[in-house]
Amino acid sequence: MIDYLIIPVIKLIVIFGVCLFFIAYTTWLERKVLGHFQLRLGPMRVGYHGLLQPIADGIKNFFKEEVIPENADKAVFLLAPIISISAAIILLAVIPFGKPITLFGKQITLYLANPSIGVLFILGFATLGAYGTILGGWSSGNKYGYMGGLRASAMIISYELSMAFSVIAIIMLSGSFSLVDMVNAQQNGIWNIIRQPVAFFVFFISGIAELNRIPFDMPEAESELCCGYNVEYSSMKFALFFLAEYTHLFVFASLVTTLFLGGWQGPALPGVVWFFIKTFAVIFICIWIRATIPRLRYDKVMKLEWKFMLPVAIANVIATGAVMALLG
Amino acid sequence: MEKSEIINVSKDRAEKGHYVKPILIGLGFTLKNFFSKPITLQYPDQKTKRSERWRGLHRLNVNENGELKCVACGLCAAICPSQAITVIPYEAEGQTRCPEKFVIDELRCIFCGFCQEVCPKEAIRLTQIYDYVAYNRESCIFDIQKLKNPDQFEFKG
Amino acid sequence: MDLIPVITIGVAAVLTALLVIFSKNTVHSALWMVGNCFCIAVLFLLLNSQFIAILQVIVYAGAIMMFILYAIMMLNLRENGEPATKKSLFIFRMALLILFLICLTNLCIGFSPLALKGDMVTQNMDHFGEVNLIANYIFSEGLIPFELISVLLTAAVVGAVYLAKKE
Repeated sequence: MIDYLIIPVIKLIVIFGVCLFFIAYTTWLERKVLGHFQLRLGPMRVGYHGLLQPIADGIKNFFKEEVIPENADKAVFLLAPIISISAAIILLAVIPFGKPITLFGKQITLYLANPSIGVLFILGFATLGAYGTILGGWSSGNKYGYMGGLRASAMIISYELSMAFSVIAIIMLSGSFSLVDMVNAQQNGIWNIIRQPVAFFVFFISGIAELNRIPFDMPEAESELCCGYNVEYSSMKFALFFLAEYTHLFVFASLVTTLFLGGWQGPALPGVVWFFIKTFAVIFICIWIRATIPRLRYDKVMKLEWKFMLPVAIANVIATGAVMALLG
Repeated sequence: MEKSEIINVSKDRAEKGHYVKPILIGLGFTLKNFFSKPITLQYPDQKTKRSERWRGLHRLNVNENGELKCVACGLCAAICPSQAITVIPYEAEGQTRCPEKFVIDELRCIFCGFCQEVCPKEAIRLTQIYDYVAYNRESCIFDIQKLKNPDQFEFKG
Repeated sequence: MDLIPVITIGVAAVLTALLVIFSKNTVHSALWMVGNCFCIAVLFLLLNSQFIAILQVIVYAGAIMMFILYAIMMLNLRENGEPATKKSLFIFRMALLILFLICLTNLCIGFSPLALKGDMVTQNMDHFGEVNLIANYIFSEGLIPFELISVLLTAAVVGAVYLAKKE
C-alpha cells in the first residue's frame, strides 16, 4: 500500500510542485537576464527585484477577460491550450532529478517513472505538444494564427528528425533508452558532451528550434505574424500556452543535462543541486542566444535543417557506429 | 554608435554560411553587456539630472510677509505667446496693488519662460517640476493657491 | 480485472474511429484520428509492449498525423457541404465492407494468442514488445524483408517526388 500508492503520490506532488515553481520563476529569470543583456534591469517593482512578478502575472491573468473570436472553432479553440500544457507537464514524469535517496529506511528514487523507453517518451510527447500550437493557430480563425500554426507544423516535423538522430548516438553509447541508464553510463566522469560534441551541437540547435525560441521563433514571429498562433488567446488560456512554452524550456534544459552533462553527477554538492545548477546554466545559455541572434528567415530555417543539421546528425550516427564497431 | 559597436557582416559571407564567427562576436558582445551596469533609472525613485535653467511649472513668489510679490502689472499676460495667463488686478486705498485673480492654464503654456523674464518684481518663476499629472482638464488650470506652492504636485510614485 | 481497461480503451478506439469518418470538418477528423492512435497506443501498453506503444505515438500520432494536418491546413479544407454520392454504389460498398470484416475476423482468429502454440507462453508474452527482442528479430531473421521494405519505401518517396516535380 505505502509503496504503491502513498510514496508515488507524495513524490508526484513534490516533483510537480517544485518543478512548476521553478518554471514560474524561469519566466522571471528570462525577463531579468534578458534585461541585463540589454543593459536594462528587468522587473523591479513587484517585490525585491521583482521576485513576486510571476505571482502578480498569474493573478493578473486570472482576472483578464476571456475572449473567444466569432470565427473560432470553439471546441478546438478551448482544447488547444489544454493539449499544450498537458503534453508539456507529462514530460516531467520521466526526468531523473538525482540519485536514489534513503528516507525513513525506505529507498526513494528521485523520478516518477523510469520506463525502458524514457527518451522516446520525451521525444513523442514533445511533438504532441506542437498540436496545441497548430490547433490553436488554426482554430482562431485568424490569418496570422493560421500562418503561425502552419509554420509550427512544418518546423516541428523537420527539427524532430535531427533531434532524434542526435539522440540515437547517445542511445548507442549508453545501450539503453532509459534516462537513468544514460546518466549512469556517464559515471566515469566523461560526460557525453566530450564524447559526442557533434550530437550535442545538433541536439541543442534543434531543441531551440523545437521550443520555438528566438532565433527560430517562426510560429510566433512578432514582427511578421504579430504573435502568430496565440494572437487570439487571452486570459488564462494564453497563460497556459506561455506556461507550456516554459515547461518545454525547462524539460529541454534538463534533457540536455541528462543526456550530455552527466545528469545529477558532480563533486561535493548533492545530486539534485547539481542537476538544477546544470539545468539553469542551460536555460541561461538559451536566454543568452535569444538576446543575441536575430530571427532567421523562414526558408533559411528549413535550409539549415534539411541541408545541414540532418546530414550532420546522420553522419554522426554512422561515425559513432563505426568507432564503436572498431573499438569492439 | 561608436566604431567598435558595429559588427560588419558582408552579404557574400552570410550567403556562404560564414556566420559562425559573427555569431560568436555577437555572443561575446551581449555577454559583455550582461556584466556591465544597466543604464536604467528607476523613474519615480530616481530622476534624471535636469539643467538649472529647466523650465517647469510656475511659482508665484511671496515676500517676507507672506504676501505675493506680484503687483498685477499684466506684463506677463501681455507677453505670453499662448495667452495662458489671466491677471485681474485688485486696487484699494493705502495698499499695494495685488492680483485679485491670477490664473495660468498649464495646458496652454508652452514653458517658454517669457513671463519670468519680463516680470519687474521677480514675482513669477518657473520651477523644475515637469511631471504634473491630473485626471481632468480643470485641475490643470492653476489659481493663486496652487501657484503659491507648486512643489506639492511633483510626482513621487 | 485486466479486461476492464482493455474493453474501455477498445470501445474508445472504435468510437474515435467512427468519429473520424462521421466528422464533417476535416480538421476534426484528423484530431479524432490522433485520439484513435492514442487509444491504440494504450492498448499496446496494456499488452506490455512499451516500445511499440511509443512508436505508435511518435510515428502515427506525432509525425504522420502532423503531416496530414499540415496538408489539410495548406489546402485550407473547411466545411464545404456533403460531397456528391452515388446511390448505386451503396450495395457495392456494403459488400466491400462485409468482405473486409470477414477478412478481419479470420485474421484475428488466426493470429490470436489462443491459436498460437510454442513460443508464445505467458512468460514470453510479458517481454513481447521489448526493444531488444524486436531489434534481434529485425536484424537477424527479418533482415531481408526489413531491408526490402526500406527499399520499397525509398522507391515510393522517389516516385512521389518525381510525380510532384513533373513540369
